[in-house]
Amino acid sequence: MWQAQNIMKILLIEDNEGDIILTREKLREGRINIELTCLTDGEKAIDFLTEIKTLTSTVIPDLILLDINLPKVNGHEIMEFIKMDTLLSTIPLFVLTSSDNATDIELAKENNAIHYLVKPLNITDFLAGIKKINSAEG
Amino acid sequence: MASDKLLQLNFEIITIFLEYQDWHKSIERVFDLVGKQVEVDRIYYWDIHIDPISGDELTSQRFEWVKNGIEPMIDNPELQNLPIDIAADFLAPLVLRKPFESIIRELPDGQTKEILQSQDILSILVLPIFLDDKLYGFIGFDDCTCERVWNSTELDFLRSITSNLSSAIHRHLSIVKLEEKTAELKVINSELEQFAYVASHDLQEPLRMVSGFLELFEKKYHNLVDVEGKMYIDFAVSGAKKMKSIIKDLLEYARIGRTKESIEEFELSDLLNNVKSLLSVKIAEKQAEIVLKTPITIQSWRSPLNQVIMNLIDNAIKYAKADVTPYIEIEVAEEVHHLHFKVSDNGIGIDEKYFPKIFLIFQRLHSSSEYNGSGVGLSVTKKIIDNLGGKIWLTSTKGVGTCFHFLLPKF
Repeated sequence: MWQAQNIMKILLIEDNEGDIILTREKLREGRINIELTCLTDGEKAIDFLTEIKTLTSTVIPDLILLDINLPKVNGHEIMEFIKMDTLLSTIPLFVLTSSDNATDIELAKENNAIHYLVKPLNITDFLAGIKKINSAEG
Repeated sequence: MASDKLLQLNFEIITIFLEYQDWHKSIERVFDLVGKQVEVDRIYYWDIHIDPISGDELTSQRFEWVKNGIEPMIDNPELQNLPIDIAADFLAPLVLRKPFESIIRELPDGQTKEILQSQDILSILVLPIFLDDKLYGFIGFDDCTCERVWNSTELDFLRSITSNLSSAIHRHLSIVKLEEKTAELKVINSELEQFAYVASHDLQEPLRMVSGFLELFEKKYHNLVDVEGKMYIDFAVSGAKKMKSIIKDLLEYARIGRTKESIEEFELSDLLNNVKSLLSVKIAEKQAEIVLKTPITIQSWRSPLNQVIMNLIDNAIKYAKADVTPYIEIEVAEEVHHLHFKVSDNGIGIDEKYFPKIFLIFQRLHSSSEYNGSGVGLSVTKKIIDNLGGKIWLTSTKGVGTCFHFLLPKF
């Protein structure tokens, strides 16, 4: 579990390069130490998550920030993949997307997303989400 | 035959034709009445149609009435899809709007005579049916028992039947055409709505890049640009902001009707309280007074109604007179089929000449420096109401105030 004094390892699954930069800049405003790993399509994300699942990778992110409209494998499919695995499903997940569509929100909720953020990232909302994780785990 | 009897029958037949939108449903009853009245053995209706493959003009028997004991011909395959040339003999007078009347025995030998004799016909009367100045079909009357000569009263009577049939066909075709047009327009309309939705949705992403990076640029490099450069950025930022709000409004407009709304029973006062809390900042700012004159329980679509009332109150507050406290009154009357809502204010009012314009999307009557907004609010309101099968209109006096009226179906 991530503690405030530690570096937060965030896995950002986002295909838009511009959004990656903007999100990184916004996260800087939050004044928490982060280490950002970015994956730019759904397939890469599944590969990466599979490595964690099969213990090939020992670096487990503290948070997944997931876009929904992604090439190859979309965000909902990724959430379903995560949900099926006992280890992956312990990683807190936020959705960060341009869609404020009710169906997307509903689906994300069903797939255990802790927080649903609409782009551009609002750092106050993000930090509120982090608080939610900590209070749920604490 | 007594002419007043025929007159009465004629009236009865007109009534039958008017009873159904589709003349196919009335024609058999009409033939039966006519057949019994004028004492013939067979009545039939043929139409002229185009073969979809060859493009040739064909004629086919569509309806038939026969007297008891007379052999019906409706199932005779030889009387379907005949090339029009075969009937040339009796079509010749018909295209000139004249009847074809004949004692079969007196006809010159030939195909026409053979065909008619093979059906035991002794005398025949055929009347044309014209539609848009074109021969559309014809009605025939066969006598298989005697060589009949029609008197003028009977001929007049039968002519009036064909002209009534012709108007029934015309009416039916117009309805069918109108329905087709309406269906076509519905498809086009939903395609356009879909387009507006997708376009406005997809425009959000590139716009987010523009405004996001402008903001980032301003934040990181504001020291590196001079006053003029900063001004340029300001223009770009405010342009992007404006565009964002237009896209947001457009999306809101395009989204109306995309979700199924359900009927609820609720207190109108609860709904109004919700609206007041959503508009609390604006209400406080202008110290607006909002009064519900009829605190009743209603059954309606709650969330769209909430939005409609909110938009109208928002509008009333926005267009309040500068030096007068806004006073807004909400009233509902139950009519036979509708709930009649009224939202009235003491605002600046609207000139009557602008009434037709105010519900158009992006239509504004003031410059954005006077009153802000993109001009979507009332068009959204109208679209919501139209979608629910309602109606919205207004009455207003410039300098006195405006009253928006709308109807919603009652449940």
